Amino acid sequence: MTNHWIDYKNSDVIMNIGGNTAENHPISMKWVQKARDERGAKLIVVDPRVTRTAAVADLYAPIRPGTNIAFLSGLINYALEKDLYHKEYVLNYTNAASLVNPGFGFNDGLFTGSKAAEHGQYTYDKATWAFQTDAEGKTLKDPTLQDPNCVFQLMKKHYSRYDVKTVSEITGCPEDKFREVADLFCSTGKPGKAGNILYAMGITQFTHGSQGVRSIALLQLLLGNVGIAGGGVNAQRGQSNVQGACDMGQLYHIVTGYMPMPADAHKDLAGYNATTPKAGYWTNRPKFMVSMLKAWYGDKATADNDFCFDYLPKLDKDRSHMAMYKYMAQGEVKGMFCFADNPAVGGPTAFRKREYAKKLDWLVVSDIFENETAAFWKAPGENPEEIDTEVFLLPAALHFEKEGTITNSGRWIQWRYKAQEALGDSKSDLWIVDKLFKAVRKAYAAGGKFPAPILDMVWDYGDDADAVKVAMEINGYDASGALVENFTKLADDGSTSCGSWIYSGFYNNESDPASKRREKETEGIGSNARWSFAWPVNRRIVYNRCSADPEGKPWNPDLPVLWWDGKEWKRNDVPDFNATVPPADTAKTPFIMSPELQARLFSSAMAEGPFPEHYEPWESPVANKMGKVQFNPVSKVWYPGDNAEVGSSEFPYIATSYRLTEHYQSGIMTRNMPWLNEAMPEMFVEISPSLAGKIGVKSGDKVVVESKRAQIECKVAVTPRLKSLKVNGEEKEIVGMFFHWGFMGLSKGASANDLIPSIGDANTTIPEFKAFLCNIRRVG
Amino acid sequence: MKISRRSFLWISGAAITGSLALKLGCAPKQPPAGPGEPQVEAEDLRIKYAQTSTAICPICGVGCGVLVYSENGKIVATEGDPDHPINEGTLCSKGSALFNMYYTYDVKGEAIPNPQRMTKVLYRAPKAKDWEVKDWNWALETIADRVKKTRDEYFQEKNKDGVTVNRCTALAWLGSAMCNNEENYLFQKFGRALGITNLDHCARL
Amino acid sequence: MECYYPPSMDRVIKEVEFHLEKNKNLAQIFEVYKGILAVQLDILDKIKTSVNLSEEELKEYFRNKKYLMADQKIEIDSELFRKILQSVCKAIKEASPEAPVSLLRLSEAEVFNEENIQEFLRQIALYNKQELESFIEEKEIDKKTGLDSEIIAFVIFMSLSPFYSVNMKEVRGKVDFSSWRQSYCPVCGQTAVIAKHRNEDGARVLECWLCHAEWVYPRMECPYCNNNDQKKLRFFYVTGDKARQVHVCEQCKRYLKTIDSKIMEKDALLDIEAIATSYLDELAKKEGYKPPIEMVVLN
Repeated sequence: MTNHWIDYKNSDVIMNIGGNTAENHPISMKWVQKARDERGAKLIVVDPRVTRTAAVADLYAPIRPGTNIAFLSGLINYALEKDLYHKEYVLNYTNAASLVNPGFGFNDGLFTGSKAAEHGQYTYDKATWAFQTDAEGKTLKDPTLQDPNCVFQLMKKHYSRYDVKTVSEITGCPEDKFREVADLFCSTGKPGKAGNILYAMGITQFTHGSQGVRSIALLQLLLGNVGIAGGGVNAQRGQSNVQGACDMGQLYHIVTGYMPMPADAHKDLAGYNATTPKAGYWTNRPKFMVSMLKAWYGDKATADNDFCFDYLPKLDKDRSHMAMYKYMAQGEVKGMFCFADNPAVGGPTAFRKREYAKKLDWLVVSDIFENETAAFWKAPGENPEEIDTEVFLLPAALHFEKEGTITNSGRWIQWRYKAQEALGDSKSDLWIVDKLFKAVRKAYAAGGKFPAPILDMVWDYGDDADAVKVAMEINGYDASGALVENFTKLADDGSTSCGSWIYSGFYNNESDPASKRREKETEGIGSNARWSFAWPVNRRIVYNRCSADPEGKPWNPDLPVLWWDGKEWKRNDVPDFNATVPPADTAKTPFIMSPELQARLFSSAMAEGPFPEHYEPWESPVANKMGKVQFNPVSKVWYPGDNAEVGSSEFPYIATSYRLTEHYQSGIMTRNMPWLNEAMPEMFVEISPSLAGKIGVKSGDKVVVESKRAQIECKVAVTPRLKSLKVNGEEKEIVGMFFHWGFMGLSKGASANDLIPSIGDANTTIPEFKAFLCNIRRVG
Repeated sequence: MKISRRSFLWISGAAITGSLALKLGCAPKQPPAGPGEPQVEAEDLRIKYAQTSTAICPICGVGCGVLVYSENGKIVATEGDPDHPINEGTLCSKGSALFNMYYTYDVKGEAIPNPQRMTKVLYRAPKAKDWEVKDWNWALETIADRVKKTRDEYFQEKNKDGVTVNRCTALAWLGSAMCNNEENYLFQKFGRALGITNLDHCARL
Repeated sequence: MECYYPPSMDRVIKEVEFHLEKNKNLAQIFEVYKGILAVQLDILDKIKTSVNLSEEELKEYFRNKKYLMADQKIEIDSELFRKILQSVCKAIKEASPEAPVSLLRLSEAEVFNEENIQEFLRQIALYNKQELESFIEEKEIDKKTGLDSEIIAFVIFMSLSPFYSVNMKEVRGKVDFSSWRQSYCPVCGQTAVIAKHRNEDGARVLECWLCHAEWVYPRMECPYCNNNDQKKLRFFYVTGDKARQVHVCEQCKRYLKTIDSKIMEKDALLDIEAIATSYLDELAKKEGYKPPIEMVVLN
């Protein structure tokens, strides 16, 4: 989130697209409601289904799963064509004026530089996705925004193809509904108005998920909605610490604090540092990397040995969730740790996760209940005698049986205290990982392959690991050995250490750590600066220079985030810029994390191209109306032929998945809670009354749902919440399913994720859970 | 209950109790001892101590505050934290049911630890049809042995171009959005020290 | 937050009956309580407010952790005060025939006559119970009237209470007390000695026993010493009645009686609960805890 949950109350128009705030983040709805009650804010919901968020919305627009980019592109086009964008903001705070290489172009679904690759896919040479520069390498600009090669004009050209009629035909959203949404949301392009977009996995879990997010960002930038109170690009995180796990680098391609993993191309630390961005705040990256290495390797890390840079493994290729399972299937992966994760139900094509686990020599699972991932050899139809995998299932403590921090979507790092001892032999994951490390270190003391990274690692958290000690290491220490105040004090000479630079400051005072603070704000805009700590440096709204105009006057004087009073910046938040200088000095450089110091309406960073383009999901009922490229041309196809053909008659229905308020994720937590099972006892799928009529079922009947990959059996609920959509003039039906069930736990049921394809986004490899094709029929 | 002169003076505020009540002639003939038990001396009333601790809900990313009550080291109730600026005392259906993850009720209505919970280290040998219960020491040593064996066998110090890569692609690690930051940080350190590149968590799922 | 004060007499009667069912021995105390309350309720609409500060000025007080009467004087009509004093004394005597007969002549004491009363009220304006009692003894008002200083202090407070309450309501109408985070009252500065957990959301609400201002104080912090180490805060209750709690701080060893309205599923009337739970004060003492305001043992 650029903003935070409480800040919803400052919005004028809130659009929930690809998320279901009322059912999946129920408590945050109170802040949506507060905006409506106190500011007369309007709520728009764009969703394939009339969710309970939609049920209370001012405006609901249906959409076909997998067509978010078309919808959002239509809104971008609407804002540009009708002159509804925020001109001063766009001109000053974005790269709209930058001139692009004249060789750049887009033709029939592909940007310039494409080259055919395997499985009908493409690769890109991004040479033309660049700016024109002067002799000193400075980007050329046209502040009138008239040059045909300036970003603004290229954008207008690209998006002009997304007229209302086309968008309606692709998305299934009626034209008048779309216009209503466009008029209402684009009304926030007026200076002083705040438009807020809330999204979740209904935007991200597609082969084009990250371009969906980018579309949201572009729309918000055009309307001047980024960096202001009540605005923002707000990803509503589905899990309590998904933010923190990412911040700690629990992703294949990064280490802590979003620093990229060293790769084969980086011969040494200098080679790694050579990839440091040339401008923007990321120029400080070498300080953060060396400080992390010092936190890990302490005195062993010296300038002479590259601060033990070589101790870090180098990344050879995509090793994300789907990739590692593919490598497991191929026999490369032999042993696996799995902490509080349940891919055998939660993963895409989940039955294959269970299948591939058989290839492992050993599997270590730590969980609070016996989950399907650990018990894969017990799955219906399996013969354990044919399965050689050794499985260690470690009993984990529950959340209130240990202490430490978790980070919410608004980046608040909040401390959680321990309320009771762990039950029986169960132990906190901190205890488990600490003891496991020590056991491995002991094993390596007698020798082994390259033991140095293990033997030299700083690992000193007490006999039973103390979360406070770990927190302080993450926060970091300065040259004097005291807790470092924040990351601005980190150095690249080895004098400082810091486990994750973005967290420094969250535990910089042992007697009064910021993450334990509990002081509610009583006056202000809802920042609650003395409640816990928000990374970075306790900033609650990122890019907040943009909340004020170039002269430092807040766009909305009633909700000032920061304002220049003629002498100094006054603040309701921690400034995201140098606040010791007059506003003119920062007016053109408000986006400090971008090398251009401006928001990038045009960027070469994405795999698919500088502007998002609508492509159909891997499995789609229709041909791509926007061009000859059917599907994300740079998405990696892991399982060729594993998808239903376009417009398949065998799998004629669009399928999507979502969550219940009463259950959670793979369900292993909630399916073992009798109260919740009583409220929502079993697996079912949802279909519209018209589809029910077609296949002859009523609510409560048993159905088989089948995809190209698998079939499942469960009950069906017939509900007007789902309606067929008119796509390209044809009625298309949707089957909606919940993915909480598996074969273990108190409540057992079919796993919807068995049906899901293992195909992912080209940038993030997030699987395409939210749009595929299926068939559904009555049992018996 | 015998009332000592000194005890009257403990009472503060303006409530008509203690010495004031005596002086005003309206003190109870049988001084109040407790709720519904007027005859019982205060000394005989059974009291229970309880502890409150603050926590954050482990479900979604809103990060609602939870008050966790415990007595004799056992959680007895959970409820929304009224002082938390986001949820202001409220919780959703899952958040309100958190207690049930820890405890359920037996037929007599007594709270018992959720019988579904893992309380022992379990081990499944190759081809085995069921789990065996093990102790921690055995598990830690055996896992360390397996890790070392796999790592030593498949560790790659240099790639084919001679660049130092120090990785072991035979190992994989899934961390979690359900674990604390400090835990994920140690997963990261440990995993990378082993040379793991197959490292991810449920963020994508 | 709604300001509940003044409560309706119907509700008071119901609450009192509830407690009497459990403990009949409190009957006479509650008669005294109701008698005084009736006098107070009767007089409220005759009192004029004298707070002339704007919302912003009031906020500035609270921002600076300053309670209003620290330097704002509340106008008190001396004649009305004497009248209330007389009625309060009379009500007590009627409800409790064993009360000292000299109560009935208290309002005629020299200190309350036209020449002295304003000066007297000015002097005692910021006194707490203990300070007022000492002052009464120092001025020998107890000797002169033949009444115990505790009684005199009590009836003075009961007679001042309506004036303070009316002014508190006036202030509360302009600005809520949400920015106030002290153990003492934002209006009259008296230390709160009882609290409730609000039924609506469980927030801890402190209430001033004098003017009945209510304000939220964080649950996980001792109001008296600001200790927020959760390991040093706990509470006890008598088995079978979890709604009536005593919250204790292991740092300053003070206790705060707290009524959990969430458990009762209705908001408690704290004046009544304070009387009904005096056994909790005994228990707290026995457990080694001190009340918020320590009393000096006078004899």
